[in-house]
Amino acid sequence: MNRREFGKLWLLSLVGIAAAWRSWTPVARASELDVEKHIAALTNNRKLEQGRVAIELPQISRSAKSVPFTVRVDSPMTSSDYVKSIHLFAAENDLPKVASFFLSPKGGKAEVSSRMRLKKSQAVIAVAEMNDGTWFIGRRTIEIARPGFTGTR
Amino acid sequence: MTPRIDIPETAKVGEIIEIKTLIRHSMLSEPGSSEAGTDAQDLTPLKWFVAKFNNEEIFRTELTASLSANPYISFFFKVPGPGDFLFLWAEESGRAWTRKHKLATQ
Repeated sequence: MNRREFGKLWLLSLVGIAAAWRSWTPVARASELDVEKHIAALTNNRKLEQGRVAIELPQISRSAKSVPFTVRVDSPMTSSDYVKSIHLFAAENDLPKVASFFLSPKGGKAEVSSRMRLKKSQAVIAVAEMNDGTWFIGRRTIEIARPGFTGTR
Repeated sequence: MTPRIDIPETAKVGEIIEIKTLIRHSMLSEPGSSEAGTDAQDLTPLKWFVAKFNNEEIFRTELTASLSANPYISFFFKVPGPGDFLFLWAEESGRAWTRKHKLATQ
């Protein structure tokens, strides 16, 4: 085996290890798959595009019971180009669906704020539907300093 | 249990104003599971919040028990002229609360 062949073999084995690793590690957690199902039903399996959806959260929240959030979608909010709805999910909550907001161009600005319960540190996911039928997804992780009982069942 | 709203009394036509709302409600579905400062007889979480201006719907939220107790919701509205806001909070059980607000324009 010359040096070149050895190099090829080494590369191949790396690819093999990577493939094995990929099939061995779960692609997503069960709770995130649950959210994916929710979103697929909502969007009718439409492709989700990245960008335009920003979730504002504190980096660390001391309380699991009340975490303030803002979801902002980049949109001119005119009658020909606006956000129809925003849906927020927290995969690690017993109740992953947090809220759905239905907007109209009358709002002038695609931004909503509220407070949610978060059982533990996790990723919060928001999807937004535009009036032309396209969907965008945004994601943000948050640390909960004192996880535990949030009051939800 | 009067819902609280925070909206300007007057605004300019075309101005985008923030509408802040809050209602005292446990958002829990079990009797006896109310947190301090909420109404103990709330048995089902709020399901809908609807905002109308001059009888036309401008904003709606579908709530779940994953929202915090005493749900606060804020959103924006581009003022088309003077008019009347109507806000409605409703449980799935049918119990509902409303608030009205008059907006004048300069």
